Amino acid sequence: MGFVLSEEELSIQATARRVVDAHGGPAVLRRLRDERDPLGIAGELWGALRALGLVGLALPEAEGGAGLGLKEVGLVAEELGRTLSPAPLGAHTVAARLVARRAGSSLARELTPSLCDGSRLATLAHEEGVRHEARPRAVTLSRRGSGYALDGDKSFVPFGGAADWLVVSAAHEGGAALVLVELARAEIMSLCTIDSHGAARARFRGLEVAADAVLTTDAEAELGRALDEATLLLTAEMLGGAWEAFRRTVEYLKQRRQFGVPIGSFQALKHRAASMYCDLELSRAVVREGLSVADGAQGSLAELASAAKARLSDTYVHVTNEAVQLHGGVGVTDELDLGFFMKRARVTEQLMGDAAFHRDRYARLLGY
Amino acid sequence: MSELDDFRAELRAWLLSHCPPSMRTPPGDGEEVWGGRRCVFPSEDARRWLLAANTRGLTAPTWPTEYGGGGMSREQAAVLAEELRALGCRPPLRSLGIWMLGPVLLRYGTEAQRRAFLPGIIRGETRWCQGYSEPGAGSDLASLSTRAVRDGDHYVVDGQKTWTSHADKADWMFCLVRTNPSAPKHQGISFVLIDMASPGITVRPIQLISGASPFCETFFEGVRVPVDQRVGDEDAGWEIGKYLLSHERSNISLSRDAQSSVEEPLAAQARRYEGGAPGEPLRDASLRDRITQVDLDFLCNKLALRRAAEEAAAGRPAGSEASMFKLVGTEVNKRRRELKVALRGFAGLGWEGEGYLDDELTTTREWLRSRANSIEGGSSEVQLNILAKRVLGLPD
Repeated sequence: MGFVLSEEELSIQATARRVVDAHGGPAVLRRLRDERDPLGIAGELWGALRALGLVGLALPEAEGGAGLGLKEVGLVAEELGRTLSPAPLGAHTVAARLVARRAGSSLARELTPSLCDGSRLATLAHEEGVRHEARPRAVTLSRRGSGYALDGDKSFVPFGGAADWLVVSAAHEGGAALVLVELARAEIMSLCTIDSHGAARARFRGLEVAADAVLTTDAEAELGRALDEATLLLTAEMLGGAWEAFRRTVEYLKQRRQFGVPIGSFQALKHRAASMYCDLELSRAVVREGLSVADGAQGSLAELASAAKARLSDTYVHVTNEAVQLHGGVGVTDELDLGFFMKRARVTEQLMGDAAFHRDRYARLLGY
Repeated sequence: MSELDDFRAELRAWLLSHCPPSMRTPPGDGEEVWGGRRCVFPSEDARRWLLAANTRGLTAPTWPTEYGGGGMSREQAAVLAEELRALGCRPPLRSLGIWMLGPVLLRYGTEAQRRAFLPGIIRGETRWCQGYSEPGAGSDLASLSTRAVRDGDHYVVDGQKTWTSHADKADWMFCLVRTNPSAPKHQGISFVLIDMASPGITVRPIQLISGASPFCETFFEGVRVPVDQRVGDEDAGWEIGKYLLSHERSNISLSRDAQSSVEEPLAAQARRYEGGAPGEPLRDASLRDRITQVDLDFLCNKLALRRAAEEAAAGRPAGSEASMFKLVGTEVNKRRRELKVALRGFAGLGWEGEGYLDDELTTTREWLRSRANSIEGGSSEVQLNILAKRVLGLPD
């Protein structure tokens, strides 16, 4: 019965909805954009989410988290997406889970409680070059003396300017490693992106890394899992955004009159709307199922993550393109918030791999 | 052990002793039992299985026992479905009477009509066909013009129905007729039950682009139908007819999905024609991506169906889902069939005869047949209209 939300899940959803509506929303995003805010994070909202314990939902209870699953985080992520509220929930959750699992590192042990309550912010630094890839290549970790050295560039680190700590994926002796780097020690360039959500480039030039900061040098399986988790949380956010852009469009079709009638009475437009509705319902099913599998339900996490991202990349872009077109002239004005959804759709499409990447990966996973 | 567990254990034991082993294999072509007065059972076991099922009302598990139904709760019926699947039992009977007419009679029929028709439907003794579409009334079904004129305690029916599946094999037809030509089109229609043996009925089979088909044209010339074979009030048949269609829609999309889930994966089929080692990416990158797109749409549709089923079981049915699943299910199925032909290349171009495998000829015929999936039972465009109106609330 994974699809029917439990009382607890409904209550988390309702709380998230209330907080996000009170402290987030397109108006906050617009202000960050107009002020050229280099961090690109809805600080007040993030504080409110922290205060309610919604930042550590899927982090260990013993360390101050709520000990719940990614499905619950996904419900909050949907609300962030619905309101276009820039908050590093997904990136922080996945990075913090990697740190929390590393009991052997005293640095990780020390950081974990502050990540669980959100007093420190972590993010995953993985993307390199111009396109998502599963394995790190440009950033390398090599041995130096009793410790290590980190070299190379990360091209797109979500909320990289606002984070306190980066969990950096790096190529290492034919495999992959995960390394904890304090933000202040990396060369960070905040990016001014179309979606006004925080993002940064990170450069490491022979950065000295203590052995204790290396979470693992055998990270392939763990990194794969973390990327799948991050992908699914991203699709939850995309799902929320796509539904909201759709909802606004259907409202507009009912209100806008031309030729003496509401334009929503025209069959050509009705069919486009109804077809998007089906697309969105199927999207919701695959995202929710993916998050359930991430929490241990039967199924292949990798397959579901790719299925969900392939679908949501296409759906979010398609729905926002249609939303702008169906709004007509007003749809391309900056005054309307709709453009923000379209811009965010473009960014999330590329993050963690676009539809073509994930269809290719899905086919490989199925042996063709 | 709960009552439901007891029920399951008892049912399983009963199935094991009453469902013949040959009925626990997938049915071959033409081995499905559709019942009716002229029913020819494919085997003695098939007849025995239906008779056994009838002693417990298994063909209509949730219908009242007084009409021959199983009298089961929804939970028990779900257990029955699971056990039938687990043991691989064939459905003892396939029937439009059960899938479509039965729910209508249970909701709108008189007690006399229920007693007259439900037992024969449940036991598979009468086979039904659907008299809805007409040459001039397809998507705009309500514009139908087959006339029923009152003459004492009978109607006299004149006109033509088309796309009547198995009219040549059916005993009875549930039929929409116009009883009041001067009323607005939705308000002059009645729902009547017509004995196909009545004088004045002629049936002619229809040939499709895929070859022979179960569809027929049915002609009525002065056919006399007793007034007590009308279901619901005179001129109030449109609502009943629509209620029946909601059952048709879910049946079509569910049966397509059940079918495709046991098929050989598209990628494996492509590999047979393309060669190459298992595990390697298919050589034709464009074909490979089309396969993935269909696989993923199929997966998402399956998950959405499961979600709808779970929400409904939890008492939160969302409403017009039947339209969505009819639309998406048939559209994905069409793409899948098309792809199956495309990946066979020249081997997918045969119509009949030598030079082609049976599987190749079947695949090609199924592709052609699938073109009708998004037309029959309410076209995709009609489903989009329904969704726009009922779910999205867009104005007329």
